[in-house]
Amino acid sequence: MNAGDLSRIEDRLRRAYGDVLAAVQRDDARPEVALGSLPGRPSRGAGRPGGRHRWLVPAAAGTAVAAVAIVTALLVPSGAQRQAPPQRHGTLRATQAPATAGPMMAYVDGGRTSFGGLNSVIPVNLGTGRTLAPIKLRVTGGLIDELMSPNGRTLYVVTLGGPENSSPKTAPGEVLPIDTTTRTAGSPIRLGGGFPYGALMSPDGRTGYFLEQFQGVATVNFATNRPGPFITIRGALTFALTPDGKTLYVVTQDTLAGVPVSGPTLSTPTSASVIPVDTASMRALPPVTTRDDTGMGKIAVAPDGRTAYLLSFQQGITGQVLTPIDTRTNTALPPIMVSASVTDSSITISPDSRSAYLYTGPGIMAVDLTTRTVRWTVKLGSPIWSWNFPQGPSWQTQTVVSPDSRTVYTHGDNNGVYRVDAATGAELAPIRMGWLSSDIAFGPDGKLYDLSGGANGVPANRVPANGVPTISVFAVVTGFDPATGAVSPPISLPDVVATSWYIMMLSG
Amino acid sequence: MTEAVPASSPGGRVGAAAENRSEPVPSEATDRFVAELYERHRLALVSTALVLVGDRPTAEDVVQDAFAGLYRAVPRLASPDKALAYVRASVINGCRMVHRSRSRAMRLHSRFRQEGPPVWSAESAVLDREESRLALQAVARLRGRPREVLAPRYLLDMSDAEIAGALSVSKATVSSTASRALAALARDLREQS
Repeated sequence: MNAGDLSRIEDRLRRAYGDVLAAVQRDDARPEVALGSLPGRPSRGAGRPGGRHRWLVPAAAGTAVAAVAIVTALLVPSGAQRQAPPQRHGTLRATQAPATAGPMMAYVDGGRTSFGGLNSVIPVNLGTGRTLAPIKLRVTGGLIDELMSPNGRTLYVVTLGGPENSSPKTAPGEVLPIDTTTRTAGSPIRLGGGFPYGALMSPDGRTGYFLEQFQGVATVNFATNRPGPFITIRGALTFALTPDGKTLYVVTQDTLAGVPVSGPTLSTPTSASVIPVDTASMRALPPVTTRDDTGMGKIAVAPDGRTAYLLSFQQGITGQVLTPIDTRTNTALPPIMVSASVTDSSITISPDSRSAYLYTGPGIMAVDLTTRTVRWTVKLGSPIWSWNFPQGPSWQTQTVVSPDSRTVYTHGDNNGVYRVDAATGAELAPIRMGWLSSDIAFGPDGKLYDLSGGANGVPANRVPANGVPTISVFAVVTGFDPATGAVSPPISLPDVVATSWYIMMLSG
Repeated sequence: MTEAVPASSPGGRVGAAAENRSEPVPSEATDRFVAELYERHRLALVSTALVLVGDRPTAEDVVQDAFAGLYRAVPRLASPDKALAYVRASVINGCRMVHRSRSRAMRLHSRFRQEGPPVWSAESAVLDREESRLALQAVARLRGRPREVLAPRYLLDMSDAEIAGALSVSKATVSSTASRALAALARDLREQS
């Protein structure tokens, strides 16, 4: 067997195994055992039919949502000004905006055990380091994602629904608007009926887009808090929005493409895997023709809005390719070859739109988008498993670029957050913050915030007040000021029932 | 990867029986450590077991058993770094036991009997992608060690040395077995297409 054949069979095997992992992951996000039924010690046969075991797993992690938020934090300064649309980079969701007066706030998803199985959101004043009274959500389904209105007054929480007092179950997704002033949740807004997998907001804050796995994109009019048109796109997996909010790019899984579907915006992709959506008419446009054979790509739009980048696999090519898409014409440009491995799973575009940073588990690859060449690759620390649908297990994927595009940050193990000089690829001294850091992002105040299960390389490991003895990790928020090099005192969130990983979203 | 240190501590002992055996006993630190490891690796290990044994309940059982074993073994491990290797090896060996158990005459009474159609069968709704189904069917047609080395290698990204340690064979054996398995897979899939 020659090298080409070997590479092809290895890639195919990885994809097959990745599909199994994704299926297991999806299955894990389904209805869960009732609260209080969890054993505290492993026992034989606990995995037999009749109830998936959750040995040593906190009940709040019932959904154990794979690839989606179990703990989500949202940082927002009160009275924030108009914001840029969220940029999705792997699991990182962040919006960047100028810092404004008022305290920085974090809204951390609190899990489901604190209030008899209901979800909650815990506000944290990052200025004082104090937590406020949790906001109770009258739903039992897992929390998926969060959005913040441009004025900072309304937090939108995406959940799997499920009414109060019901056993945890997966219901059609819902969006709960939360008034951040009164800290109360409003009436839920039903989505399209599928499994919500991600959320984006238009720059003007008037429209929410919610990707429903394999089904399409549900929309919500935030001016009226009513559902908008549902954009049917079979095989929808990930999406990104241009900074002007005019075009939504949806990446599809091509094995599901071509299936006849009905809906207001029929789309039957056959070969392409990127479907542009005109957000003015809420209609799918003709697919962008790419050579992506898998539909398992990740997509990001450059901050200048001129180009979208699809990171994907192509037949006959070892590793992945980065396909630029001209957002004015919606045509694919010649791809940039990158020899990243199959588990690579994130793409981050620098604020100056000149570089792309791919997480290469554990490490980073820098691609110069102007010369279309790989500028450097650096290995960092030890890998951490995370889950990144649809590829299945991957390494932690958060790669963050400083606002001046000069430093790249990522995290890989319990040593904290790693720093790399963007120009040379030289590794700088790591920042001792977080423990098995799960998410990092820059806040509007210019500080880098970390949400993890500990601080300064030490796990939180506290026993919760509710007496469940098996919960081992709690959320801890830590800030780092690049200007002074100071790391803020960690803020522990003892009411947060955390599990393995978190997703943090910054907004301003 | 370095996990939280589960050093045995005087407190938090679990049960007199363990004390009577005068062996290290799990502590609260062990609870936390194993819980961490479980949270972080369960899905990957269940997936690995699933592609080896075919059905989810059995795969869950195998992983559960592996962690139950780890829970008891942690205090005796030379280093916490060994815990992941230990539990991975337990899962792989647990899957081998499943196949042995199913091949016995008393398999109807085995706790490891097949639960529903295997993940790679057309009747199973687990896999959406036909390409993946065909690939896993081809893997399922492999027997013994060739099948056992592929999932750890390409699903868990274990090195050949780590797989060798788990299967108690040499690294060279793992490498040659994997090469033969891949060649067989390539032939099989070519013939199927």
